[in-house]
Amino acid sequence: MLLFSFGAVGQADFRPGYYLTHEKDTIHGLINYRGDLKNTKACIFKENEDAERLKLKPDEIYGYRFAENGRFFVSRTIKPEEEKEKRIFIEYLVNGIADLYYYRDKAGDHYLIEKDDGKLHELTNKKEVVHHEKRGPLLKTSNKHIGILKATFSDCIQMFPEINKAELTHESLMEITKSYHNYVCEGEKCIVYKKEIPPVAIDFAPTIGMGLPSLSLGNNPDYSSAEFTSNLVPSFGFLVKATLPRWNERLSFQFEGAISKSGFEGFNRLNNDLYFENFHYNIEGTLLQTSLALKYTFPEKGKFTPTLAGGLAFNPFINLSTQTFKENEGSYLINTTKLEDEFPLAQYTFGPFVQLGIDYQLTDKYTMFTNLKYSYTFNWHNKERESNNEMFNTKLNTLNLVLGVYLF
Amino acid sequence: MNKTDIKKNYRFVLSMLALIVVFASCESELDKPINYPRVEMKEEIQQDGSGVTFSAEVLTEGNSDIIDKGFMWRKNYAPLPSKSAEISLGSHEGTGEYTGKAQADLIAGKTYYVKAFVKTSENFVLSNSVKFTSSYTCPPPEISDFTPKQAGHNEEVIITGDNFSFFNDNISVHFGQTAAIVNSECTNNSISVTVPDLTVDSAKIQVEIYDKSVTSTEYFYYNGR
Repeated sequence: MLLFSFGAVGQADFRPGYYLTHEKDTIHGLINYRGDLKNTKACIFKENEDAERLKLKPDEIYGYRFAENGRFFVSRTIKPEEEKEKRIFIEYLVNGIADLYYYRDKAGDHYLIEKDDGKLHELTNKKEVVHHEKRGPLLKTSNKHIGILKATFSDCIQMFPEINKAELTHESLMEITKSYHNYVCEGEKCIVYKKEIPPVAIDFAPTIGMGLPSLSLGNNPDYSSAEFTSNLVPSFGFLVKATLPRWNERLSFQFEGAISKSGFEGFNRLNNDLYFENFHYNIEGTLLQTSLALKYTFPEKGKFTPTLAGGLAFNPFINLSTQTFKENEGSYLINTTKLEDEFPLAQYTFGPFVQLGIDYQLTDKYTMFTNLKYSYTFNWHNKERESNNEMFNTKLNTLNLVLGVYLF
Repeated sequence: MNKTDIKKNYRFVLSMLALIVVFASCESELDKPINYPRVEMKEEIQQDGSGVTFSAEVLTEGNSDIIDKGFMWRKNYAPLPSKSAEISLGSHEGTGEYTGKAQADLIAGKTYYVKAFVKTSENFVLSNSVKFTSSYTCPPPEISDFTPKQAGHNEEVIITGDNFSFFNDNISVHFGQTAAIVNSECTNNSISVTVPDLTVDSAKIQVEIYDKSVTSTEYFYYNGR
């Protein structure tokens, strides 16, 4: 499963977009969305789903842009510190009186500012530990970015208090660049090439489903050979998906809760030489299935979007009632006794689960999904039985097929 | 959304619902190595002035036909075959509930244990027992007949009637003034007795159960030794 998921993460994610030739001709098609590091190196383009892929290097085109999120990458020559000049694609964040760019490499995030002189100035803020005679080691920041911003926006001293608070983040620098534009240019608005992305996107969906739980009791000779079957039970619940799009728009956290009336029928046959003892167990209760998962959403295939999730499940039983009937099976007479002993079942189980799913775009607003989820949960617990404190392991495996619609 | 989209969405939703239905049909069944029927005695027991009504459920059928079903009960102890009062309700088909009304051997205020039973040609299956305190007292015994009308010492006489007892030690039978031995083969409709050594040629038969007695209208004729 891990290999599968890693392989899946590495697969192509072609999204609608276009590239611009050096002559500024626009060629529409699909561009592979590969993350900040790889987006700087090449543009992998194909005209349509069936067309061949083209690898366009920074010296071959002017730039490329994704249609959905508006991200725009332009080819520029940069000169990082202690490195040779190189031509890469950098992300155009703000196009105004001053332009703001961003790229990421192995060293981390880089922000570049450019004014009408056509020179790219990198905004940096180096941190180093210095030893103070009295106060010991101190963290010192260079705040060079503030100096560069003040120099770049020197014709707008009203902004200096804002610049003093500038941080090397998209939000802070884009805001300052936009503010500068608005101060000095009354006629036109600057262009922001990145759509506003919320820090957290929450999706909520009511769910219905069918579950097939299976139960076993391990570690105790009286019960470990017992077989339990369950009824297939309907469940009702909800699913909350939280995505952090600024971190990774394909990864999300998923919390799911579902409630179902569950029943198990168990049987165990023990031979005591003279006759058989047949035990029948009836377990009924409400099963609350909760889970927290990390979910990966694969690139869309038309209206379909496969998903894969894994995480931890926690399944408490509510209003649990158990009955045990013992039948002494002689050659003719079978005598039944209802045992008063409490069935040694844990009140809850927990463990890992995996989930495969398909999201389906019903309309622009609503997405339907179906998930097939398998969880393996257990609980080692002690139970007093016939004056002995005995150890049991309640294992609850569930297979659930869930259907839901994201409402918002 | 155009018509084609609506059609596609409709198909997808139907496919998903079909998937759930297919999934729902994947129910597994426990394979138990037992071939006898199973029966469960229900905890709910109805009592009124006409008797005590028990109910039970045949849970599984087993491999052979159920030729008889019913209930058996006993004071203070869990009932066992041939040591309990019982009602027999005849054959039973399939699974499901059945009920039966008991009157014999019940005294108000006493505690009893009752079990349901089912019988096949191969097995006699007794359910779990349920404890109850009776609020009903069985009516006085009634004699409808006895046979033979004439017999000698140590010969067997069968008394038939109603509201008798399944327990011979609860029954007292007198031929005139002389007590008879009550045999163990008793039901609420018949009592088997051994004719005692009588000093008279004829006598009426008196049956006493739970301090209530009845005397036959006909005379029994003694043949002597």
